[in-house]
Amino acid sequence: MSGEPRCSLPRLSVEIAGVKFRNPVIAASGTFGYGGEYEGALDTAALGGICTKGLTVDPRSGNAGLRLWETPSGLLNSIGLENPGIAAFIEQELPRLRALGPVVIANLSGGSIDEYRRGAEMLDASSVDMIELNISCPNVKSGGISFGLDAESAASVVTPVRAACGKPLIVKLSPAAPDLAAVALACVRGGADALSLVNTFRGMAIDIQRRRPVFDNVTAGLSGPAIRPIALRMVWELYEKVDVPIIGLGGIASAEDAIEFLMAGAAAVQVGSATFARPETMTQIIAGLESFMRENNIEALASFNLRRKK
Amino acid sequence: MKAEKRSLLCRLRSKRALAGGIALLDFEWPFTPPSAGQFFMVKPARTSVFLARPLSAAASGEGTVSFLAAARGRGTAELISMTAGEEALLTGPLGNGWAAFLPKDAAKPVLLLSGGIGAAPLAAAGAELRRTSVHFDFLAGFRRGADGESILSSLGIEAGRALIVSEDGGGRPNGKRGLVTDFLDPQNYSAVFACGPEAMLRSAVLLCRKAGTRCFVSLEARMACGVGACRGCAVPARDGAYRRCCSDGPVFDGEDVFFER
Repeated sequence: MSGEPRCSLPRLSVEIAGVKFRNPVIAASGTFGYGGEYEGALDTAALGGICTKGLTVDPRSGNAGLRLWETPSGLLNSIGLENPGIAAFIEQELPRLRALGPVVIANLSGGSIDEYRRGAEMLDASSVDMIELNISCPNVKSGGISFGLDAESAASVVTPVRAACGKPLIVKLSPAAPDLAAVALACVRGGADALSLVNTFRGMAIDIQRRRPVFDNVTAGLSGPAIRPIALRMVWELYEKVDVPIIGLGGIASAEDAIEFLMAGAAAVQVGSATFARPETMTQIIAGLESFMRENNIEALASFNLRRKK
Repeated sequence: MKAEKRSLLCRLRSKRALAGGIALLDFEWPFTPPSAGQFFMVKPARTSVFLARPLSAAASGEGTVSFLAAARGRGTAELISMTAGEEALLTGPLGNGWAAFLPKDAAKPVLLLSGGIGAAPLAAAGAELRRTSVHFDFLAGFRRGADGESILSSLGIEAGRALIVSEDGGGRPNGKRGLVTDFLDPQNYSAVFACGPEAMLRSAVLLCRKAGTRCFVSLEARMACGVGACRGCAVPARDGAYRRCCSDGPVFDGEDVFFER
Protein backbone atom coordinates (compact mmCIF):
# COMPACT_ATOMS: atom_id res chain seq x y z
CA MET A 1 0.00 0.00 0.00
CA SER A 2 2.18 2.88 -1.22
CA GLY A 3 2.02 6.11 0.71
CA GLU A 4 0.96 4.36 3.94
CA PRO A 5 3.57 4.73 6.70
CA ARG A 6 4.88 1.36 7.94
CA CYS A 7 4.43 1.17 11.67
CA SER A 8 7.87 1.04 13.21
CA LEU A 9 6.84 0.62 16.82
CA PRO A 10 3.88 -1.68 17.25
CA ARG A 11 1.95 -0.84 20.38
CA LEU A 12 1.82 -3.91 22.57
CA SER A 13 0.35 -2.04 25.48
CA VAL A 14 -3.10 -2.85 26.78
CA GLU A 15 -5.25 -1.54 29.58
CA ILE A 16 -7.37 -3.97 31.59
CA ALA A 17 -9.70 -2.73 34.32
CA GLY A 18 -7.80 0.51 34.42
CA VAL A 19 -4.40 -1.13 34.83
CA LYS A 20 -1.81 -0.45 32.13
CA PHE A 21 0.26 -3.38 30.88
CA ARG A 22 3.31 -2.71 28.71
CA ASN A 23 2.47 -5.88 26.80
CA PRO A 24 -0.24 -8.56 27.02
CA VAL A 25 2.02 -11.38 28.26
CA ILE A 26 1.48 -12.39 31.88
CA ALA A 27 3.07 -15.19 33.90
CA ALA A 28 0.36 -17.57 35.10
CA SER A 29 -0.21 -18.33 38.76
CA GLY A 30 1.68 -21.27 40.18
CA THR A 31 4.33 -21.28 37.49
CA PHE A 32 6.37 -18.24 38.36
CA GLY A 33 6.63 -18.32 42.15
CA TYR A 34 6.91 -14.76 43.38
CA GLY A 35 8.94 -13.53 40.44
CA GLY A 36 12.46 -13.91 41.77
CA GLU A 37 12.98 -17.61 41.21
CA TYR A 38 13.45 -17.34 37.44
CA GLU A 39 15.76 -14.32 37.67
CA GLY A 40 18.60 -14.73 35.19
CA ALA A 41 16.89 -17.40 33.13
CA LEU A 42 14.81 -14.78 31.36
CA ASP A 43 14.37 -11.00 31.45
CA THR A 44 11.56 -10.88 34.00
CA ALA A 45 11.38 -7.08 33.88
CA ALA A 46 10.14 -7.32 30.27
CA LEU A 47 6.95 -9.17 31.17
CA GLY A 48 3.57 -7.46 31.07
CA GLY A 49 2.46 -8.96 34.36
CA ILE A 50 3.14 -11.63 36.95
CA CYS A 51 0.46 -13.61 38.78
CA THR A 52 1.67 -14.84 42.11
CA LYS A 53 1.37 -18.38 43.32
CA GLY A 54 -2.10 -18.92 44.83
CA LEU A 55 -2.26 -17.23 48.22
CA THR A 56 -4.41 -18.12 51.21
CA VAL A 57 -4.83 -16.32 54.51
CA ASP A 58 -3.35 -19.22 56.42
CA PRO A 59 -0.07 -20.75 55.27
CA ARG A 60 -0.45 -24.09 53.51
CA SER A 61 2.26 -26.71 53.32
CA GLY A 62 0.90 -28.35 50.19
CA ASN A 63 0.14 -31.94 49.24
CA ALA A 64 1.94 -35.07 50.34
CA GLY A 65 3.15 -37.57 47.77
CA LEU A 66 4.01 -36.85 44.18
CA ARG A 67 3.00 -33.39 42.94
CA LEU A 68 4.02 -33.59 39.29
CA TRP A 69 3.51 -36.04 36.45
CA GLU A 70 4.41 -35.35 32.84
CA THR A 71 1.85 -36.12 30.14
CA PRO A 72 2.10 -35.95 26.35
CA SER A 73 2.48 -32.23 25.64
CA GLY A 74 1.51 -31.39 29.18
CA LEU A 75 1.75 -31.77 32.89
CA LEU A 76 -0.48 -32.95 35.73
CA ASN A 77 0.06 -31.07 38.96
CA SER A 78 -1.27 -31.48 42.48
CA ILE A 79 0.70 -28.96 44.46
CA GLY A 80 -1.95 -28.23 47.10
CA LEU A 81 -1.61 -24.44 47.13
CA GLU A 82 1.61 -24.46 49.11
CA ASN A 83 2.13 -20.84 50.14
CA PRO A 84 3.46 -18.93 53.15
CA GLY A 85 0.17 -17.17 53.81
CA ILE A 86 -0.83 -13.67 52.72
CA ALA A 87 0.82 -11.82 55.60
CA ALA A 88 4.20 -13.45 54.92
CA PHE A 89 3.78 -12.81 51.18
CA ILE A 90 3.15 -9.10 51.74
CA GLU A 91 6.08 -8.79 54.10
CA GLN A 92 8.66 -11.05 52.50
CA GLU A 93 7.88 -11.52 48.80
CA LEU A 94 5.93 -8.48 47.63
CA PRO A 95 8.71 -5.86 47.91
CA ARG A 96 10.99 -7.85 45.58
CA LEU A 97 8.10 -8.62 43.23
CA ARG A 98 7.11 -4.94 43.06
CA ALA A 99 10.68 -3.96 42.26
CA LEU A 100 10.79 -6.20 39.19
CA GLY A 101 8.53 -3.92 37.13
CA PRO A 102 5.63 -5.94 35.64
CA VAL A 103 2.06 -5.53 36.86
CA VAL A 104 1.67 -7.47 40.12
CA ILE A 105 -1.42 -9.67 40.22
CA ALA A 106 -2.06 -11.48 43.49
CA ASN A 107 -3.82 -14.80 43.01
CA LEU A 108 -6.26 -15.21 45.88
CA SER A 109 -7.41 -18.69 46.86
CA GLY A 110 -9.32 -19.98 49.83
CA GLY A 111 -11.21 -22.86 51.38
CA SER A 112 -14.17 -20.90 52.64
CA ILE A 113 -16.01 -17.68 51.85
CA ASP A 114 -14.72 -16.19 55.07
CA GLU A 115 -11.11 -17.00 54.19
CA TYR A 116 -11.54 -15.44 50.73
CA ARG A 117 -13.03 -12.32 52.27
CA ARG A 118 -10.27 -11.93 54.85
CA GLY A 119 -7.68 -12.51 52.15
CA ALA A 120 -9.25 -9.84 49.99
CA GLU A 121 -9.12 -7.37 52.88
CA MET A 122 -5.43 -8.05 53.48
CA LEU A 123 -4.52 -7.73 49.80
CA ASP A 124 -6.59 -4.56 49.48
CA ALA A 125 -4.27 -2.95 52.01
CA SER A 126 -1.15 -4.02 50.10
CA SER A 127 0.61 -2.66 47.05
CA VAL A 128 -0.49 -5.36 44.58
CA ASP A 129 -1.98 -3.90 41.39
CA MET A 130 -4.77 -6.42 40.87
CA ILE A 131 -6.31 -9.51 42.37
CA GLU A 132 -6.98 -12.69 40.44
CA LEU A 133 -9.62 -14.64 42.32
CA ASN A 134 -9.21 -18.40 42.02
CA ILE A 135 -12.69 -19.87 42.43
CA SER A 136 -11.63 -23.39 41.51
CA CYS A 137 -10.78 -24.16 45.12
CA PRO A 138 -12.84 -26.84 46.82
CA ASN A 139 -15.45 -25.53 49.23
CA VAL A 140 -14.65 -27.32 52.45
CA LYS A 141 -18.21 -26.73 53.69
CA SER A 142 -19.80 -28.42 50.69
CA GLY A 143 -17.67 -31.52 50.89
CA GLY A 144 -14.99 -30.23 48.56
CA ILE A 145 -17.04 -29.20 45.52
CA SER A 146 -15.30 -26.39 43.69
CA PHE A 147 -16.84 -22.91 44.11
CA GLY A 148 -16.39 -22.34 40.43
CA LEU A 149 -18.73 -25.04 39.17
CA ASP A 150 -22.01 -23.17 39.39
CA ALA A 151 -23.20 -19.57 39.22
CA GLU A 152 -24.54 -19.37 42.75
CA SER A 153 -21.36 -20.63 44.48
CA ALA A 154 -19.21 -18.45 42.30
CA ALA A 155 -21.27 -15.38 43.14
CA SER A 156 -21.13 -16.27 46.82
CA VAL A 157 -17.36 -15.78 46.69
CA VAL A 158 -17.09 -12.91 44.24
CA THR A 159 -19.60 -10.67 46.01
CA PRO A 160 -17.91 -10.51 49.44
CA VAL A 161 -14.46 -10.31 47.81
CA ARG A 162 -15.65 -7.36 45.71
CA ALA A 163 -17.05 -5.70 48.82
CA ALA A 164 -13.82 -6.22 50.73
CA CYS A 165 -11.44 -5.02 48.06
CA GLY A 166 -11.35 -1.96 45.84
CA LYS A 167 -8.54 -3.17 43.58
CA PRO A 168 -9.23 -4.31 40.01
CA LEU A 169 -10.59 -7.84 40.21
CA ILE A 170 -10.02 -10.67 37.73
CA VAL A 171 -11.93 -13.89 38.34
CA LYS A 172 -10.20 -17.04 37.09
CA LEU A 173 -12.80 -19.46 35.80
CA SER A 174 -12.85 -23.21 36.10
CA PRO A 175 -13.26 -24.98 32.76
CA ALA A 176 -15.16 -27.75 34.50
CA ALA A 177 -18.28 -25.65 35.06
CA PRO A 178 -21.19 -27.31 33.25
CA ASP A 179 -22.53 -23.85 32.37
CA LEU A 180 -19.45 -21.69 32.06
CA ALA A 181 -21.31 -18.70 30.64
CA ALA A 182 -23.69 -18.65 33.61
CA VAL A 183 -20.76 -18.74 36.04
CA ALA A 184 -19.00 -15.99 34.10
CA LEU A 185 -22.07 -13.75 34.07
CA ALA A 186 -22.60 -14.32 37.77
CA CYS A 187 -19.00 -13.28 38.41
CA VAL A 188 -19.42 -10.14 36.35
CA ARG A 189 -22.66 -9.26 38.12
CA GLY A 190 -20.87 -9.90 41.41
CA GLY A 191 -18.28 -7.30 40.50
CA ALA A 192 -15.53 -8.93 38.42
CA ASP A 193 -13.71 -6.38 36.25
CA ALA A 194 -12.18 -9.08 34.05
CA LEU A 195 -12.12 -12.84 33.69
CA SER A 196 -9.27 -15.27 33.11
CA LEU A 197 -9.90 -18.54 31.36
CA VAL A 198 -8.91 -21.43 31.75
CA ASN A 199 -7.71 -22.92 35.02
CA THR A 200 -6.43 -26.49 34.78
CA PHE A 201 -8.58 -29.42 33.70
CA ARG A 202 -9.03 -32.37 36.06
CA GLY A 203 -7.08 -35.42 34.99
CA MET A 204 -5.28 -38.35 36.55
CA ALA A 205 -2.57 -40.93 36.01
CA ILE A 206 -2.05 -44.44 37.35
CA ASP A 207 1.37 -45.86 38.19
CA ILE A 208 1.14 -49.26 36.58
CA GLN A 209 4.16 -50.66 38.43
CA ARG A 210 2.86 -49.66 41.85
CA ARG A 211 -0.74 -50.37 40.78
CA ARG A 212 -2.19 -47.19 42.23
CA PRO A 213 -3.01 -43.61 41.25
CA VAL A 214 0.07 -41.42 40.93
CA PHE A 215 -1.41 -38.69 43.10
CA ASP A 216 -2.51 -39.07 46.75
CA ASN A 217 -5.57 -36.97 45.85
CA VAL A 218 -6.16 -39.20 42.80
CA THR A 219 -7.03 -36.35 40.43
CA ALA A 220 -4.77 -33.48 39.44
CA GLY A 221 -4.76 -30.42 37.20
CA LEU A 222 -3.79 -30.85 33.53
CA SER A 223 -2.04 -27.99 31.74
CA GLY A 224 0.17 -27.52 28.72
CA PRO A 225 -0.15 -27.52 24.92
CA ALA A 226 -2.50 -30.52 24.98
CA ILE A 227 -5.30 -28.35 26.42
CA ARG A 228 -4.79 -25.35 24.17
CA PRO A 229 -7.47 -26.05 21.53
CA ILE A 230 -10.06 -26.55 24.26
CA ALA A 231 -9.01 -23.42 26.14
CA LEU A 232 -9.12 -21.45 22.88
CA ARG A 233 -12.60 -22.73 22.10
CA MET A 234 -13.80 -21.69 25.56
CA VAL A 235 -12.38 -18.18 25.17
CA TRP A 236 -13.98 -17.89 21.72
CA GLU A 237 -17.37 -18.92 23.07
CA LEU A 238 -17.24 -16.80 26.22
CA TYR A 239 -16.28 -13.65 24.33
CA GLU A 240 -19.78 -13.41 22.90
CA LYS A 241 -21.39 -13.73 26.31
CA VAL A 242 -19.60 -11.16 28.50
CA ASP A 243 -18.68 -7.51 28.26
CA VAL A 244 -15.54 -7.53 30.40
CA PRO A 245 -11.99 -8.25 29.18
CA ILE A 246 -10.98 -11.90 29.03
CA ILE A 247 -7.42 -12.97 29.73
CA GLY A 248 -6.81 -16.21 27.86
CA LEU A 249 -4.62 -19.06 29.01
CA GLY A 250 -4.19 -22.76 28.50
CA GLY A 251 -1.16 -24.25 26.79
CA ILE A 252 0.14 -21.06 25.18
CA ALA A 253 3.76 -21.70 24.23
CA SER A 254 4.54 -19.39 21.32
CA ALA A 255 3.66 -16.08 19.73
CA GLU A 256 1.45 -17.94 17.25
CA ASP A 257 -0.51 -19.49 20.12
CA ALA A 258 -0.87 -16.11 21.81
CA ILE A 259 -2.13 -14.55 18.57
CA GLU A 260 -4.80 -17.24 18.27
CA PHE A 261 -6.12 -16.21 21.69
CA LEU A 262 -5.94 -12.49 20.85
CA MET A 263 -7.86 -13.20 17.65
CA ALA A 264 -10.42 -15.14 19.67
CA GLY A 265 -11.03 -11.98 21.67
CA ALA A 266 -8.66 -12.26 24.60
CA ALA A 267 -7.36 -8.89 25.79
CA ALA A 268 -4.18 -10.47 27.13
CA VAL A 269 -2.71 -13.91 27.69
CA GLN A 270 -1.10 -15.85 30.48
CA VAL A 271 1.69 -18.38 30.01
CA GLY A 272 2.16 -21.16 32.51
CA SER A 273 3.63 -24.59 31.87
CA ALA A 274 5.46 -23.38 28.78
CA THR A 275 7.86 -21.52 31.06
CA PHE A 276 8.93 -24.87 32.51
CA ALA A 277 9.45 -26.29 29.05
CA ARG A 278 11.44 -23.27 27.94
CA PRO A 279 12.17 -20.44 30.43
CA GLU A 280 12.42 -17.75 27.73
CA THR A 281 9.00 -18.57 26.25
CA MET A 282 7.33 -15.35 27.45
CA THR A 283 10.06 -12.99 26.24
CA GLN A 284 10.07 -14.85 22.93
CA ILE A 285 6.30 -14.42 22.69
CA ILE A 286 6.67 -10.67 23.26
CA ALA A 287 9.29 -10.45 20.52
CA GLY A 288 7.19 -12.65 18.24
CA LEU A 289 4.11 -10.46 18.72
CA GLU A 290 6.17 -7.40 17.83
CA SER A 291 7.52 -8.91 14.62
CA PHE A 292 4.13 -10.28 13.57
CA MET A 293 2.57 -6.86 14.05
CA ARG A 294 5.39 -5.17 12.14
CA GLU A 295 5.24 -7.65 9.26
CA ASN A 296 1.46 -7.40 9.01
CA ASN A 297 1.20 -3.66 9.58
CA ILE A 298 -0.84 -4.10 12.76
CA GLU A 299 -0.51 -1.05 14.95
CA ALA A 300 -2.32 -2.03 18.09
CA LEU A 301 -3.29 -5.20 19.91
CA ALA A 302 -7.01 -4.50 19.62
CA SER A 303 -6.74 -5.08 15.87
CA PHE A 304 -6.13 -8.79 16.39
CA ASN A 305 -9.64 -9.42 17.66
CA LEU A 306 -11.53 -11.04 14.78
CA ARG A 307 -14.86 -9.93 16.17
CA ARG A 308 -13.97 -6.41 17.27
CA LYS A 309 -16.58 -3.75 16.76
CA LYS A 310 -15.20 -1.52 14.02
CA MET B 1 29.15 -18.24 45.73
CA LYS B 2 26.37 -19.36 43.45
CA ALA B 3 26.43 -18.48 39.77
CA GLU B 4 23.34 -16.73 38.40
CA LYS B 5 21.24 -19.12 36.37
CA ARG B 6 20.93 -18.80 32.59
CA SER B 7 18.94 -20.68 29.98
CA LEU B 8 20.53 -21.38 26.61
CA LEU B 9 20.55 -23.83 23.71
CA CYS B 10 23.96 -25.49 23.93
CA ARG B 11 25.86 -27.74 21.57
CA LEU B 12 26.73 -31.29 22.58
CA ARG B 13 30.50 -31.52 22.13
CA SER B 14 30.75 -35.23 22.73
CA LYS B 15 28.85 -38.19 24.02
CA ARG B 16 30.53 -41.22 25.51
CA ALA B 17 28.23 -44.25 25.71
CA LEU B 18 28.94 -46.30 28.80
CA ALA B 19 27.47 -49.65 29.71
CA GLY B 20 24.02 -50.12 31.14
CA GLY B 21 22.16 -47.35 29.30
CA ILE B 22 24.45 -44.68 30.71
CA ALA B 23 26.26 -41.93 28.83
CA LEU B 24 28.57 -39.04 29.63
CA LEU B 25 27.34 -35.92 27.83
CA ASP B 26 29.69 -32.98 27.40
CA PHE B 27 28.06 -29.66 26.43
CA GLU B 28 29.37 -26.21 25.62
CA TRP B 29 28.49 -23.88 28.47
CA PRO B 30 29.75 -20.32 28.05
CA PHE B 31 28.61 -18.98 31.40
CA THR B 32 29.87 -19.40 34.95
CA PRO B 33 30.60 -23.06 35.69
CA PRO B 34 28.45 -24.86 38.27
CA SER B 35 29.81 -25.40 41.73
CA ALA B 36 30.13 -29.02 42.86
CA GLY B 37 26.74 -30.66 43.40
CA GLN B 38 24.72 -28.21 41.36
CA PHE B 39 22.55 -29.44 38.49
CA PHE B 40 21.02 -28.30 35.21
CA MET B 41 17.61 -28.81 33.64
CA VAL B 42 18.43 -30.38 30.25
CA LYS B 43 16.15 -30.94 27.25
CA PRO B 44 17.26 -31.91 23.74
CA ALA B 45 16.18 -29.45 21.04
CA ARG B 46 14.67 -32.45 19.24
CA THR B 47 12.51 -34.13 21.82
CA SER B 48 9.16 -35.79 22.27
CA VAL B 49 8.82 -34.93 25.95
CA PHE B 50 7.47 -31.73 27.47
CA LEU B 51 9.79 -31.10 30.38
CA ALA B 52 13.54 -30.89 30.81
CA ARG B 53 15.28 -33.43 33.04
CA PRO B 54 17.47 -32.53 36.03
CA LEU B 55 21.04 -33.78 35.66
CA SER B 56 23.80 -33.25 38.21
CA ALA B 57 26.94 -31.73 36.78
CA ALA B 58 30.05 -33.89 36.85
CA ALA B 59 33.40 -32.15 37.24
CA SER B 60 33.35 -29.47 34.54
CA GLY B 61 35.97 -27.78 32.42
CA GLU B 62 36.58 -24.40 30.84
CA GLY B 63 33.51 -23.44 28.79
CA THR B 64 31.97 -26.89 29.13
CA VAL B 65 29.73 -28.81 31.47
CA SER B 66 29.28 -32.57 31.53
CA PHE B 67 26.61 -34.88 32.88
CA LEU B 68 26.18 -38.59 33.49
CA ALA B 69 22.72 -39.60 32.33
CA ALA B 70 21.02 -42.97 32.71
CA ALA B 71 18.06 -43.99 30.57
CA ARG B 72 15.21 -44.42 33.04
CA GLY B 73 12.28 -43.22 30.97
CA ARG B 74 11.57 -41.59 27.62
CA GLY B 75 13.21 -38.25 28.43
CA THR B 76 16.49 -39.70 29.66
CA ALA B 77 16.52 -42.25 26.82
CA GLU B 78 16.38 -39.33 24.37
CA LEU B 79 19.20 -37.60 26.23
CA ILE B 80 21.59 -40.54 26.02
CA SER B 81 20.85 -41.04 22.35
CA MET B 82 21.90 -37.49 21.41
CA THR B 83 24.83 -37.20 19.03
CA ALA B 84 27.69 -34.70 19.01
CA GLY B 85 26.71 -31.48 17.26
CA GLU B 86 23.07 -31.63 18.37
CA GLU B 87 21.76 -29.03 20.77
CA ALA B 88 19.96 -29.14 24.09
CA LEU B 89 18.36 -26.42 26.19
CA LEU B 90 20.37 -26.09 29.40
CA THR B 91 19.04 -24.07 32.33
CA GLY B 92 21.34 -23.63 35.26
CA PRO B 93 23.40 -23.91 37.32
CA LEU B 94 20.70 -24.79 39.82
CA GLY B 95 20.49 -25.88 43.41
CA ASN B 96 22.67 -25.39 46.45
CA GLY B 97 25.43 -27.93 45.74
CA TRP B 98 27.89 -29.37 48.24
CA ALA B 99 29.82 -26.14 48.85
CA ALA B 100 28.22 -25.05 52.11
CA PHE B 101 28.70 -28.51 53.62
CA LEU B 102 32.21 -29.50 52.53
CA PRO B 103 34.74 -28.88 55.30
CA LYS B 104 37.65 -26.52 54.61
CA ASP B 105 39.85 -28.61 56.87
CA ALA B 106 39.16 -31.68 58.95
CA ALA B 107 40.88 -33.81 61.55
CA LYS B 108 39.49 -36.93 59.94
CA PRO B 109 38.96 -37.52 56.22
CA VAL B 110 35.50 -37.34 54.65
CA LEU B 111 33.81 -40.08 52.66
CA LEU B 112 32.22 -39.68 49.24
CA LEU B 113 29.59 -42.41 48.90
CA SER B 114 27.87 -43.02 45.60
CA GLY B 115 25.39 -45.35 43.97
CA GLY B 116 25.25 -45.60 40.19
CA ILE B 117 25.39 -42.25 38.40
CA GLY B 118 25.41 -40.52 41.78
CA ALA B 119 29.16 -40.78 41.29
CA ALA B 120 29.03 -37.69 39.04
CA PRO B 121 28.21 -34.96 41.59
CA LEU B 122 30.54 -36.68 44.04
CA ALA B 123 33.36 -36.59 41.50
CA ALA B 124 32.74 -32.85 41.43
CA ALA B 125 32.93 -32.79 45.24
CA GLY B 126 36.23 -34.64 45.04
CA ALA B 127 37.62 -32.10 42.60
CA GLU B 128 36.61 -29.35 45.04
CA LEU B 129 38.16 -31.12 48.03
CA ARG B 130 41.45 -31.57 46.16
CA ARG B 131 41.82 -27.78 46.34
CA THR B 132 41.84 -28.02 50.15
CA SER B 133 43.82 -29.99 52.67
CA VAL B 134 40.89 -32.31 53.37
CA HIS B 135 41.52 -35.98 52.59
CA PHE B 136 38.73 -38.12 51.28
CA ASP B 137 37.88 -41.71 50.49
CA PHE B 138 35.52 -42.60 47.64
CA LEU B 139 33.18 -45.57 47.99
CA ALA B 140 31.25 -46.21 44.76
CA GLY B 141 28.46 -48.73 44.38
CA PHE B 142 27.27 -50.12 41.04
CA ARG B 143 25.23 -53.06 39.80
CA ARG B 144 28.09 -54.41 37.70
CA GLY B 145 31.66 -53.74 38.79
CA ALA B 146 33.06 -53.48 35.25
CA ASP B 147 30.47 -50.79 34.42
CA GLY B 148 31.53 -48.95 37.53
CA GLU B 149 35.12 -49.08 36.41
CA SER B 150 34.33 -47.41 33.07
CA ILE B 151 31.97 -44.87 34.68
CA LEU B 152 34.58 -43.75 37.20
CA SER B 153 37.21 -43.59 34.50
CA SER B 154 34.93 -41.39 32.36
CA LEU B 155 34.64 -39.05 35.35
CA GLY B 156 38.41 -38.72 35.52
CA ILE B 157 38.78 -40.79 38.68
CA GLU B 158 41.96 -42.84 38.40
CA ALA B 159 41.77 -46.59 38.87
CA GLY B 160 41.97 -47.61 42.50
CA ARG B 161 41.15 -44.13 43.83
CA ALA B 162 37.59 -45.27 44.57
CA LEU B 163 36.60 -48.60 46.09
CA ILE B 164 34.10 -50.20 43.73
CA VAL B 165 31.37 -52.29 45.35
CA SER B 166 28.96 -54.17 43.13
CA GLU B 167 26.53 -57.05 42.96
CA ASP B 168 29.05 -59.12 40.96
CA GLY B 169 32.21 -58.04 42.79
CA GLY B 170 33.89 -56.89 39.56
CA GLY B 171 35.76 -53.68 38.80
CA ARG B 172 39.55 -53.57 38.76
CA PRO B 173 41.77 -53.27 40.66
CA ASN B 174 40.04 -54.43 43.84
CA GLY B 175 36.25 -54.54 43.34
CA LYS B 176 34.21 -55.89 46.22
CA ARG B 177 30.89 -57.70 46.21
CA GLY B 178 27.87 -56.56 48.21
CA LEU B 179 25.93 -53.41 49.02
CA VAL B 180 28.00 -50.28 49.06
CA THR B 181 26.71 -49.47 52.56
CA ASP B 182 28.13 -52.81 53.80
CA PHE B 183 31.52 -51.13 53.41
CA LEU B 184 30.57 -47.88 55.13
CA ASP B 185 32.22 -47.32 58.51
CA PRO B 186 31.16 -43.80 59.52
CA GLN B 187 33.48 -43.70 62.55
CA ASN B 188 36.48 -43.28 60.26
CA TYR B 189 35.12 -40.02 58.83
CA SER B 190 34.29 -36.49 59.89
CA ALA B 191 31.37 -36.44 57.43
CA VAL B 192 29.81 -38.54 54.68
CA PHE B 193 28.57 -37.08 51.38
CA ALA B 194 26.19 -39.37 49.53
CA CYS B 195 24.32 -39.50 46.26
CA GLY B 196 22.47 -42.48 44.81
CA PRO B 197 19.25 -44.48 45.13
CA GLU B 198 16.99 -43.50 47.99
CA ALA B 199 17.38 -46.86 49.75
CA MET B 200 21.15 -46.42 49.77
CA LEU B 201 20.84 -42.90 51.17
CA ARG B 202 18.48 -44.07 53.88
CA SER B 203 20.89 -46.82 54.98
CA ALA B 204 23.79 -44.39 54.96
CA VAL B 205 21.91 -41.84 57.08
CA LEU B 206 20.92 -44.51 59.61
CA LEU B 207 24.46 -45.87 59.88
CA CYS B 208 25.86 -42.36 60.26
CA ARG B 209 23.23 -41.48 62.83
CA LYS B 210 24.28 -44.45 64.97
CA ALA B 211 27.95 -43.42 64.74
CA GLY B 212 27.26 -39.72 65.31
CA THR B 213 28.78 -38.79 61.94
CA ARG B 214 27.12 -36.10 59.83
CA CYS B 215 25.73 -37.29 56.53
CA PHE B 216 24.82 -34.97 53.65
CA VAL B 217 22.71 -36.36 50.83
CA SER B 218 21.94 -35.19 47.32
CA LEU B 219 18.34 -36.06 46.46
CA GLU B 220 16.43 -36.52 43.23
CA ALA B 221 12.86 -35.50 42.53
CA ARG B 222 10.54 -35.09 39.56
CA MET B 223 10.81 -31.46 38.55
CA ALA B 224 8.98 -29.02 36.35
CA CYS B 225 10.62 -25.61 36.82
CA GLY B 226 13.87 -26.58 38.56
CA VAL B 227 14.23 -23.08 40.01
CA GLY B 228 11.97 -23.11 43.07
CA ALA B 229 8.88 -21.52 41.50
CA CYS B 230 6.36 -24.35 41.10
CA ARG B 231 6.84 -26.29 44.38
CA GLY B 232 6.41 -29.56 42.54
CA CYS B 233 9.59 -31.22 43.80
CA ALA B 234 8.55 -31.21 47.45
CA VAL B 235 10.66 -33.23 49.89
CA PRO B 236 9.05 -33.87 53.29
CA ALA B 237 11.23 -32.56 56.11
CA ARG B 238 11.48 -33.48 59.76
CA ASP B 239 9.67 -30.34 60.92
CA GLY B 240 6.57 -31.20 58.90
CA ALA B 241 7.24 -28.66 56.16
CA TYR B 242 8.38 -29.42 52.61
CA ARG B 243 11.72 -28.48 51.13
CA ARG B 244 12.15 -27.73 47.43
CA CYS B 245 14.60 -30.31 46.13
CA CYS B 246 15.65 -27.96 43.31
CA SER B 247 16.44 -24.87 45.35
CA ASP B 248 16.56 -25.66 49.05
CA GLY B 249 18.53 -28.74 47.88
CA PRO B 250 19.39 -30.97 46.18
CA VAL B 251 21.91 -31.32 48.99
CA PHE B 252 20.37 -31.72 52.43
CA ASP B 253 21.51 -32.72 55.89
CA GLY B 254 20.41 -36.36 56.03
CA GLU B 255 18.83 -35.74 59.43
CA ASP B 256 16.42 -33.23 57.89
CA VAL B 257 15.04 -35.50 55.20
CA PHE B 258 15.34 -39.05 56.54
CA PHE B 259 13.32 -39.51 59.69
CA GLU B 260 10.65 -41.69 61.28
CA ARG B 261 7.20 -40.08 61.38
